[in-house]
Amino acid sequence: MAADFTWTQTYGHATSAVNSDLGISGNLFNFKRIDDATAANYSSYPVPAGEKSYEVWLRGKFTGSFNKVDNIQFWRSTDFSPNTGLSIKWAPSTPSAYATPVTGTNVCVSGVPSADPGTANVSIGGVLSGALSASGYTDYMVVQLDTTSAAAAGDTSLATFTLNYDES
Amino acid sequence: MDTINKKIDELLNIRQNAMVNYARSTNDLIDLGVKIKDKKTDSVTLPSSFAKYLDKYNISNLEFEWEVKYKDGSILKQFEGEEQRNFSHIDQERIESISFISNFDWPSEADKDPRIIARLNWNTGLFEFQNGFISQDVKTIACMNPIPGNKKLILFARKRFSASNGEINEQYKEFFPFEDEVFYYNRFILGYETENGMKAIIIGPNGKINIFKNK
Repeated sequence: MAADFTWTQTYGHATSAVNSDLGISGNLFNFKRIDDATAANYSSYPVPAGEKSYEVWLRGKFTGSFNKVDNIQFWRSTDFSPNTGLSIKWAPSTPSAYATPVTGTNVCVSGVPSADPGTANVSIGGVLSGALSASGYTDYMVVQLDTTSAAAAGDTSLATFTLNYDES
Repeated sequence: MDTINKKIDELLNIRQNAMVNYARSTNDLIDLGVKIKDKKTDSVTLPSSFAKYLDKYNISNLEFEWEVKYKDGSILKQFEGEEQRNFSHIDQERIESISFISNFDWPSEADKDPRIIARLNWNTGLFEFQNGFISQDVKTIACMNPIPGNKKLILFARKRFSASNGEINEQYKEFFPFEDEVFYYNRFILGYETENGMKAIIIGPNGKINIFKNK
């Protein structure tokens, strides 16, 4: 029971995708109009009101010594305040295969869960009942900021995403 | 009414409520056992009642660690020196008892071990508790009426991590005194299931013990 967890973001074209470890917690990424894995340059690549950000392809990465990691649950703990004109979409299918991020509508087709789902909602190896028994990744939690013309100019304030898992 | 004074009062109210809510919610999070680490200073805010964390906590970063006692009297610990064990290392055929033991001392009677211990007697299928917060209702369920049948061990930790997204507007940043924080929250589940049902407890990082129902 000593798995090491980190959030990981995959970015770039599907044929040359890059995995970037983001860290455990804190302000790890931003929604932008550039496909990269840094929270830093968001002001240079703002999302125009009425449009979408690039999709952000996240996974949970587990390393270290453990018997099993499973029951992955993902939700949005806090929303932007104010959230006028801002909604965060996600891919409820939690795809196991990566695809090049886009700014249009692709896999992010519904609102990200806003509360602990209570049961697994992120798959491992393509199934919700899947488990890791050695170092590896969950499937993808793809999120995307969707805006309307009512979105205010400037920074969005903070939203928080949570990942919950069982480890033996 | 002077409209400017009204506006100032409104803003003072919003600011004061925000500060009070911040203090209250931080206190409540810490009472629940959530560890808040300041990423800049690396310091973790702990509840005052948890002031006696043992050095070991700093190694495993877990509030509770398990320990298995076998029928021959030998002990298998989750963490022992450099060695780390997990569920797969436990020989369920040989179990006498399994305990979750806190990595902090808890106020207790002078002649008692101050650590919180939740122990499952594998032979009887019943729990025993030392210290910790446990209601009489939970104790009654955990300590009576074992589930008959062939036991399969339930032993795992439930963990959560949060990642933030977004920024505070540049114009407000100089008035935003908060540093980037890391939140830890672990819970510990111990019990067994048979063909006739499940009996398990969930231990919060603050030492509160409840019946675990949602596997």
